[in-house]
Formats: sequence, structure tokens, C-alpha cells
Amino acid sequence: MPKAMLQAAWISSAELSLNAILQLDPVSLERLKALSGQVIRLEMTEPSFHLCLLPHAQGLDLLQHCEARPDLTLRGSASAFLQMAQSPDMQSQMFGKGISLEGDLGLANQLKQLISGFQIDWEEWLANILGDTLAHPLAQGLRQSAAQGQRMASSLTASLLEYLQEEVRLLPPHPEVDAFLDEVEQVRDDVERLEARIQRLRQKGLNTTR
Amino acid sequence: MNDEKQDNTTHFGFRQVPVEEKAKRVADVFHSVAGKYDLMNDLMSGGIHRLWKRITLERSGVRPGYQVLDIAGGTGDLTRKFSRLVGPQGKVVLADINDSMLKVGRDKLINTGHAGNIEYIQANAEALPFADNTFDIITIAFGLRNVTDKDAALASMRRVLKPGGKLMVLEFSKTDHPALTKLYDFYSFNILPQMGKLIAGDAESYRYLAESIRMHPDQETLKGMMENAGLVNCHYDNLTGGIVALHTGIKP
Repeated sequence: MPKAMLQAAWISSAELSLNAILQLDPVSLERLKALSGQVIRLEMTEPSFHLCLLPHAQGLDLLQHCEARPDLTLRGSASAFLQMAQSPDMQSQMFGKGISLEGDLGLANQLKQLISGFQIDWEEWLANILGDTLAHPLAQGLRQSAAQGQRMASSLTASLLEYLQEEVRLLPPHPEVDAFLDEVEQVRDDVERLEARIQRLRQKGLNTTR
Repeated sequence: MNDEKQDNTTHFGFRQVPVEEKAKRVADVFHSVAGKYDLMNDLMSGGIHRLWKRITLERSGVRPGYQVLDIAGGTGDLTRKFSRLVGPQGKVVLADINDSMLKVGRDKLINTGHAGNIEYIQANAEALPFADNTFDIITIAFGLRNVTDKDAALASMRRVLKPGGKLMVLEFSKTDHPALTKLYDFYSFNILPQMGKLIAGDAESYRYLAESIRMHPDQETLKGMMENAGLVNCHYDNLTGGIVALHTGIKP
């Protein structure tokens, strides 16, 4: 049970502080009111965690267990969510990069408008819930792990390519492909030259028979 | 498990009072504290009562369109969230035996824009004024210990639940850790009444709250009472070391 209490405490303080900020933002509250009755589910991988957001006229209800079918589900890693929240260009982050959407895409658009209207420093917000000492390294860590993830992804691609080319030889390495292409070029040129020569000889033969 | 003794008295805190007097005395306590009930709860529990209620809400399995009864709903903490979750097709009934508490709850909910799917009813939990098989979920948070005849109340709740409906009882209970029990006792009988005196200007009412918690049946006893009332799949979870327990049961 301590885990349940801890989670309840975390979500409760997140909800309280988020709604306290939203009270100062009447435009966002109007937009949230228009979305009331909708259920938006966030599913985070690494670390694995899910949360339902239920907009209403006074802000957002955050719930861990929600029986209602979500109208929209956003899936992605925690760092992708943080990047989305902090990115000035929300659209590129939400559609395609790192976060996948399922459900009502019209709602996704409204949500995007809503979030880009927020003037919230998410790192500051995390700091309010977790304390500065924890929030800054956490945000830093998430950013670093995102960068590291990208590095890992590109190095993985490189070593996979090497494996396919050099070890199992399923794919030809670059120089081999280049040499092969050169040879193809050579053959094509030779064929063209031969064709021209045949043409010339035929012409010659025609002239001598006359 | 009946609270009534042979000589027709029941407990009011640690004292014995005639059965017919308990309801009136409890009513006096809540008339006295209604206006500052939320503030006191926050101070007394360090805000933890909100977490206990949140856990209750999350485990209720409430869905849009559900009919929910919030008994002893007091100042409307659970009703507020339920009303948003059941949506316009659902309904939440906030019932309280005490009209002062009901008025405070109603004003608070209306002032924060919660209306349309909430009904307010002054009702005694022992004889609920609803048809059989009406509700999908019934919650009673920190209310059962103030009811004179708890068995009658549980039977009445079972009657108005739909088959398959869920009863959730959130109530103070017994801690099983000796050190925590000592600390909790000291807090309840020394600090709590002083806080009540300071903030609500009423030490007696808060002394009653502390005493009534000690007189309330423990986890296993309450589970047995729920089974006696005809509920199945009864179980409980201790919260905060058993200071509070959340009992749930299903109407077959």
C-alpha cells in the first residue's frame, strides 16, 4: 500500500500545482472547458507509466486508473514527452517524432493548440513537485538520455550495416558496389562501342557490295 | 454486530448514551464543525485525507453514465470528481444526514460550477430513500462510524445497489504497529482536540471524533458485517499503516 499512497501523493500534487498555474490562464481554461468530457491517455515507455488527463472548466483531472475509453492516446518515451512540452515547434514533435497518436486526431489538434498556448516552464513545474535538487538533474538526465539514445541509434545502425556487409555478406560494402557500378558502366560503354563498330562495318560492307 | 447494548444505550465516543440520543449528538457535532470541516480535515491529517479519497475514487471503477451515491458526502470532495467522471448521462447523489454539512457541500459544488448531474438529499443511511437496485457505486467516506445502527445501514446500502454494484467504505480503523498506535493515540487525544479548539473553537467535537474512531469496528469485524449484510467478494486494504482502511464489497 505505501506505493499506492506515494503514487496518489505524486499525482495529487502534480494535479494541484498544474491547476494552480492554469487558474492564471483564462484562455487555456476556456479551451480546456471545450474539451471537457474527453479522456486523453498518456502512455510512457522508459520509465513505464500511464496517466489519464480529463479536462474540465477548472483545469485537468489526473487519474491513474480510468475506466472510460480514452478518446486519444499518446505514446512515447518520457524524454519524448518532455521534448514535446519544451519544443517551440510542437507540431513536429507530436506528429512523427517520438510520440505516436491513436484515436481522435481532431482532439489531438485541439490539444496541440492548447499546449502551445501554455506558458508553462515544465522544468520549473517539475521542480515544484519534486524539488529543485531532484527536478533539474531529472530534466537534464532525460535530455541527455534522449541525446544518448540518438547516438546509440546511429551507432547501432552503423554496426548493423557492418555486420550485414562484412560478416554475413548479405549486403555488399560500398567500395564493392562502386567497383561493380564502374564495371557495369564499362560494359555499357563497351557494348555501345561495339554497336557503333558493327554499324560502321555494316555500312562498309554495304558500300563494297555496291 | 450491533452497537446497541441490552439497556438500550449506544456509544457516543467513549460514553454511553441512549440510542435515540446518539443521532442528535452526532448531528450537533457536525452542525458545529460544518463550516470549517475541510480546513480541519486538512490540518488534522496533513492533507492525507485527500489521498485516501483519491485512492477510493481510482478504485471505484466509475464510468460515464454510472449512478453513484456518495453517503455522508459532507463537503463534496468525492462527489465533485464523480460528477465529472460520470458525465451528463450519469448521476451523483450527495446524501448526508446533516443539513449543515449538506448545505456547505452544495454551496461549494455550485460555486465551483458543478451542476446538472448532482442531486442533494438529506437522508439517514439506515433507511435510504431510494428504490431497490438503483446505484452502480456507493461510497461512504468517514461516515459509517457516526451511524447508530451500522448493520441496518449496510443492509440499506446493499438494497439500493444494483446487482454487481460496488460498496466502498473508507473509514478510520486499527493500526497494527505498536509504535504507530502509541503515536497516533497521543496525537488523537492530546493534539487533535487542541487543534479543534483553536481552529473550529470546539474541542469537544474533535474529542468525539477521536473517541468515535477508537470505538469503530476493526478491519476484520467490519468485513464480517459487510458479509452479513449480503455482500460478496468483501475485502479491505489498509492505508497509512491501518489508520484508515478501504473496504469494498459487491452485491451479488
